[in-house]
Amino acid sequence: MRGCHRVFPFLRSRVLAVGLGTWPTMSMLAPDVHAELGQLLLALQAKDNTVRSQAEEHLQNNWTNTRPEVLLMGLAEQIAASKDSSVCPQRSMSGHHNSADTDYPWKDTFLRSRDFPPYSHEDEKDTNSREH
Amino acid sequence: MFISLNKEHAVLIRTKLLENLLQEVDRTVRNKISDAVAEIGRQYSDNSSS
Repeated sequence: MRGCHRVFPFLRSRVLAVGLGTWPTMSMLAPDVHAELGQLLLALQAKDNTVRSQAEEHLQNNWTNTRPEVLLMGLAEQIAASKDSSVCPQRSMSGHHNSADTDYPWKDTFLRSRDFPPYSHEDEKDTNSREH
Repeated sequence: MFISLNKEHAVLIRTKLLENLLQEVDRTVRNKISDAVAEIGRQYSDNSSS
C-alpha cells in the first residue's frame, strides 16, 4: 500500500498530461470531457430553476474548484467546435462551418442546443452593438 | 481563475483563445472572444506578469 502513495501522484500527473496534452492535436481534451462539458453548458441554460441550480453547483464542485485548467481549455475549444445558437443566434443559420467542426465526434451533443429557446440577450447589448 | 493556473496550462489556454480570435468569422462571437482576451490581459496586468 505504501507504494500506492508513490505511484498515484505520478499517475495523477500523467492523467493531467493526457487531459491537457502538449502535442499538436486538434483537441487537447478527451471527447468524453467535451461531452460532459457540453451537457453542463446545456443544463446551465435550462429554464427549470432546479436544473440550473444543480448545474451551477456541479460547475462549482466538479470543474471550477477541482480542474479549472480543464474547464477553461474546454470552453476555449468549445468556441471553435460548438454551434450553440444561444451564444450567437445568427451562427447556426449562417451556414458557415469552421474546419474543426467535422473533426469533433461529440458535435451532435452541441447541435441539440439549437433546440433550446433563445434566452434574453439584454446583457449582451453593449457587446453586440460594437462595430469592428 | 485564469491567473491562478500554472504557467504551462495558462499559455496553452491563452494560445487557444487567440487562435479562436484569429479564425472566428462571426463578428458577435469574435467580440465575445475579445472580451475574454481582454479579461486575461487585465489579470496579467493586475498581477504584473506575462
